[in-house]
Amino acid sequence: MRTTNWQMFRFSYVYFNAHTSIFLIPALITTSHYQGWVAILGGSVLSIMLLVVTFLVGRLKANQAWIDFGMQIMGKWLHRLMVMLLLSWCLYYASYDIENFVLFFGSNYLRGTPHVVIQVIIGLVIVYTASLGFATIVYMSDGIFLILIGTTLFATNLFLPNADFAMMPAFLHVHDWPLAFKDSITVATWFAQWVLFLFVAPDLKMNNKMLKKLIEVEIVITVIVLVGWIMTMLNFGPYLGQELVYPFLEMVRSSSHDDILGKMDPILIGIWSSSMFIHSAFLIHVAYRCALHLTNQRGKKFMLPLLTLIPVAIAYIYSHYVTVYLEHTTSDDNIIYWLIIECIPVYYAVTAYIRSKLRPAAK
Amino acid sequence: MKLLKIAVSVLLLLNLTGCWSRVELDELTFIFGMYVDAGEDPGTVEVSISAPLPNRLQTGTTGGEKGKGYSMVSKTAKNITDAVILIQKDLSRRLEISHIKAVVIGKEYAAQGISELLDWFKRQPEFPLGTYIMGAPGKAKEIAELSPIFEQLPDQVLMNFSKGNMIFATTVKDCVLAESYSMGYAMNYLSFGTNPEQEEQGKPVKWAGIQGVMLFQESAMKRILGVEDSRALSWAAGHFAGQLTLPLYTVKWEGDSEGTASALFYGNSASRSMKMTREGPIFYVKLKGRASITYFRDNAGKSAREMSGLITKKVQEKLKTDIEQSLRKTQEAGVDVLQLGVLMEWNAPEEWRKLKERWIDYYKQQARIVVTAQINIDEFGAIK
Amino acid sequence: MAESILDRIKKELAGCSDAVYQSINLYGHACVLIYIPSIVDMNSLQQFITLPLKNEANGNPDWERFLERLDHGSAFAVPYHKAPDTDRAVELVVSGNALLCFEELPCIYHFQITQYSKRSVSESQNELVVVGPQEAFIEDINTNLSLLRHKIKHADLKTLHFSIGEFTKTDVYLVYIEGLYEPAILEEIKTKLQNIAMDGALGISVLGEYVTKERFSLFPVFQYTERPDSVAASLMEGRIGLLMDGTPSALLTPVTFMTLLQSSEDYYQNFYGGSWIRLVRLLFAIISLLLPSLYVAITTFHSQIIPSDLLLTIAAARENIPFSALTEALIMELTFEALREAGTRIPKPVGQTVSIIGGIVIGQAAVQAGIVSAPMVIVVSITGIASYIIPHLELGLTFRLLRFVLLILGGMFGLLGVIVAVFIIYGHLTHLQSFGKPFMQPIAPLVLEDWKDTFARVPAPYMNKRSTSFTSRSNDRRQKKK
Repeated sequence: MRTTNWQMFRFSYVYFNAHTSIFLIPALITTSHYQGWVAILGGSVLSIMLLVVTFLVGRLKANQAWIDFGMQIMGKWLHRLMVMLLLSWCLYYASYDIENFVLFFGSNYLRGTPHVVIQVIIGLVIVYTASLGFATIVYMSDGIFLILIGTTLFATNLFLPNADFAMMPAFLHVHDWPLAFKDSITVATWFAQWVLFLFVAPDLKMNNKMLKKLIEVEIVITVIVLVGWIMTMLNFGPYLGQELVYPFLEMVRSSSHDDILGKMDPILIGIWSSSMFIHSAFLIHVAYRCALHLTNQRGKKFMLPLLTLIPVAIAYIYSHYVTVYLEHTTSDDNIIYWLIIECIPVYYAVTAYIRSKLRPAAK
Repeated sequence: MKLLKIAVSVLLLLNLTGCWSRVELDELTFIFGMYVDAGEDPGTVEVSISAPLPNRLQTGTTGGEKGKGYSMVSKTAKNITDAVILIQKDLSRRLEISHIKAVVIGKEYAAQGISELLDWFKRQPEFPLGTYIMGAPGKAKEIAELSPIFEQLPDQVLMNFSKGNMIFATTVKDCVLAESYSMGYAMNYLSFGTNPEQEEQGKPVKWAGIQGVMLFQESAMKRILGVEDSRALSWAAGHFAGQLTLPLYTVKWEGDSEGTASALFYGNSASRSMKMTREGPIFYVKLKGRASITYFRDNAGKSAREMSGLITKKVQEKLKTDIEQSLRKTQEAGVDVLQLGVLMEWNAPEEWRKLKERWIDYYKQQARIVVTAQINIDEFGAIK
Repeated sequence: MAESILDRIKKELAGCSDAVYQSINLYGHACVLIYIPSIVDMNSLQQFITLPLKNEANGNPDWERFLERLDHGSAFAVPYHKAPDTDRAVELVVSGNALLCFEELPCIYHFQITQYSKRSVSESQNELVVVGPQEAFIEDINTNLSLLRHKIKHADLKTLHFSIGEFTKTDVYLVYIEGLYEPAILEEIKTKLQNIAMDGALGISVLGEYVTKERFSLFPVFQYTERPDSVAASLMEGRIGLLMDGTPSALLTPVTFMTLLQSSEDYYQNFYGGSWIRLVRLLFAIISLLLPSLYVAITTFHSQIIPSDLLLTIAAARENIPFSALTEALIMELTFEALREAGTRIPKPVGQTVSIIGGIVIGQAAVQAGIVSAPMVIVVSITGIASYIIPHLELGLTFRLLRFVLLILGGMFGLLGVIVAVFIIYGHLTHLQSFGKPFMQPIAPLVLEDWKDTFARVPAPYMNKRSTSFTSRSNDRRQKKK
């Protein structure tokens, strides 16, 4: 596999852009109003901290996958527990992906189609993509990266004419520190899924250059989310913004009157969906590696379809109880669950540190 | 092999298809214009939609008299959603609102309150929030009877009125945004009548135009302004109203010589700002423009260039007076069209929190708005 | 040795009445010249074999000296060898050699004077360029090799010979440039070629199917070309070529997706023109794949995308059409496919008729009869024209097939179907490897240095590194002046 660190940049950009660009901003406007930018910056800083910790763990044995050497740090059963947790989280997150996409696409463009059809289609796509292997997923994101950058710039261009820049002073004048702190943590959970990147080794070496590239990705994503948030606020204000479910769509649609540009939203959404598929496929790939580790490499053939079936089933159940789903995604318990999983590298780092301190003492 | 498995799954999926969201183009009725009136009985609303008839609008194959290329359906019901369903019931095709061009509100309905309409618009995913909205004198559905001479459909005429931005260019998004801040907004107020000079197919032609703006606060119409005030207001409200097209100011002078000049502005802008003082906020509205002199006459034979200083001064004064007058009228009506309250929320949130509850009264009685105008004359036309 | 060698040969060639047995008497010793006149160079035969033998016979009888010279290999002016055994000897006769068989001697000598009838080198019919070399390969392998060696005059151009096919015994040459090619690929192809056991290969694509691992991919992993300059350029990029006797095409491998969208014209025009043509080609290749499915998906599921004026026109055009948009599109596409296939197979005299019928029936009458709508005809025609812009027929065929899949998915699931199908195709393409080299390089994986020659073409002096898409031994293209 052709491996460069620049490639990691592109892959992680595509991975993170998928969810944050469409779903993070409405959530943030609802909770944070004018000081969402503080939350974004705060979340970004927290995420970079987690990234550094993840790298420390990954670098302990640069040529071996974490999933293999983790046992030596934590002990066999504790490591298995961690892997199990990670597996369940991946599947749950994938079901969020699917259900989000179904609600988004279904309610806007395919009204009337039963949700199960869309779920099955997406399930098939994810199974296929995940079965292609990690190398192919990274290669695919190379191509998608180019198109994504193009459409992001194009879309931002569409939002500028209607933006009311007089709102900018409000960002500085409104302060509510406890709220900012809480929202920073929420945003951090969106940005800080670095535990998944422990799985890129041994295909790619985890070294300082990759760390630098990933920090750059973090900064770029932060900038883009920030710009997106600013545009949404300037276009819709906090009160209308929190009412809209998908402000980006409304921004594109209301940007021109009866002009083809204002009708471009399905094309933009189509390009965005490809990054969404990569996101889900990577999650399933990680789940696959975890599951294989737990079953000691048995059952390779049918593991992937099984692992995809579970999120589809969860999404199917959720689609029958949409209000429960919406509650779950915006609840605080969700944030805590996410945090627990994302701090897995921290547990390992701490344990490894303690062990390294204890060992000389044991001698 | 994987590909084969997927192909099989897709084939299985084929059995599930009824293609639920699939509607052919010729099974749809596109709503190009929506006209909302207060119903005959109090508490009811009358919704009319205007849709084009594609088979009559066919270009090229057969021209000639075939009847109008558009048609209208009206229904009355307790609320808007019921009325729309009643319309659908009587149509042979499915309604499709994503191509709507204009929404017209009857005067009576506007006075009653349009919050239900705006909420309904917000909730439809297919409804484009960038649709122009305007008010009608009397019943909105009469407007749909205007004869489109320059365009094909009356809705296109109405859309182009707003697009041309000769007064305001209010969209549904502007209204909804203003509502969310609890501020006021304005929309074009149409005029309607028969034009006796022109005739089409033996019947007199009905003609629509714009005769001012309707001022809204809290989703209800509070006041109507005339053309002069509306154009002045539109300049000051540049951000919400769209950049006013071609404002024209004619000034006269006496003294050493008598004369008249008209300045046509090809570029104009307005900015609002706020300063907090101990007695409360002061709002500044700054107007800027670039003019071209389109008419000049001076009986002492002076050239336009010599008089340009005087012309500039006079135009600035007139501009300032006009806008102050229109703003005063909005203050009397209690409609914060320029959304100065939001400016306060952004720049001085603490003080805004104190004033928020009684903002409309404050605006009516105490708000201080200072207007300044600055214009430049770009060129004088083809003669000196 | 109950039968003599001659009898055995005659028995093997029993039904071949075009085999000639010419008896010559040399110093009282009888010898027979066996050959098949239609595949032997009769001039050479007369000049270098028959006449000298006759002159020998008339000269001083010196049988021993003659035998010595025969053994040394200096008896004749043309090279000749001893044939190992009778079976091999028969093979040699039917592949255009002349056998010289002496009654008393146990061995047979054979002269390689094969000459098949062939056509002359003509212009390329299928890969046209306006500026640049016009020659194309012909069926005869030696002429092809001579065309190639005319382009590359370097000792590092190697040609490995294989003989494939039980009955056809076709000469196949594996050509590559030493030091540039990827060794792993060469080994793989060599092994596979050596292990082929089949009756006969009549076209080079059959060989291609044996050699590749990817049996079932829709996309071609080889490039076929009939132009020697394409082969030469590819070899210099580190690719490997396969030439086969009897096929006027060469097979080149490894190949990437972008290579299949390039034509030699791009290099012979100046770089602005070349880049522009490439971009147009790429755009229309995508259009040829996506346009019908997007049209059907948008008009049936997502009419909100269409601007109002266009919407009214299309709606008016569809008013009295009895079929749904998907059915209409399928009818038109199938008709166009039929037209295309008929146009290729039709004998030249009747060719004109087809185009007239196609134009009138499909274009005019079908619309006026209300079977299909005018916008659909436009869509299908643009798609048809766009599909011919792809320079390599293999890829064009793939796109033709995929267009139908996309059309059906788009008609069933709308834009979601199109997006999902494109994504799956993209995933497949990225995963596909042409002999171990990623198919979608340099887009996925992204290799920015190779972009000098992908979507646009930079002027030649700037293209100074070989692409890594084909070989990992990328060297500096510039040779130092000596």
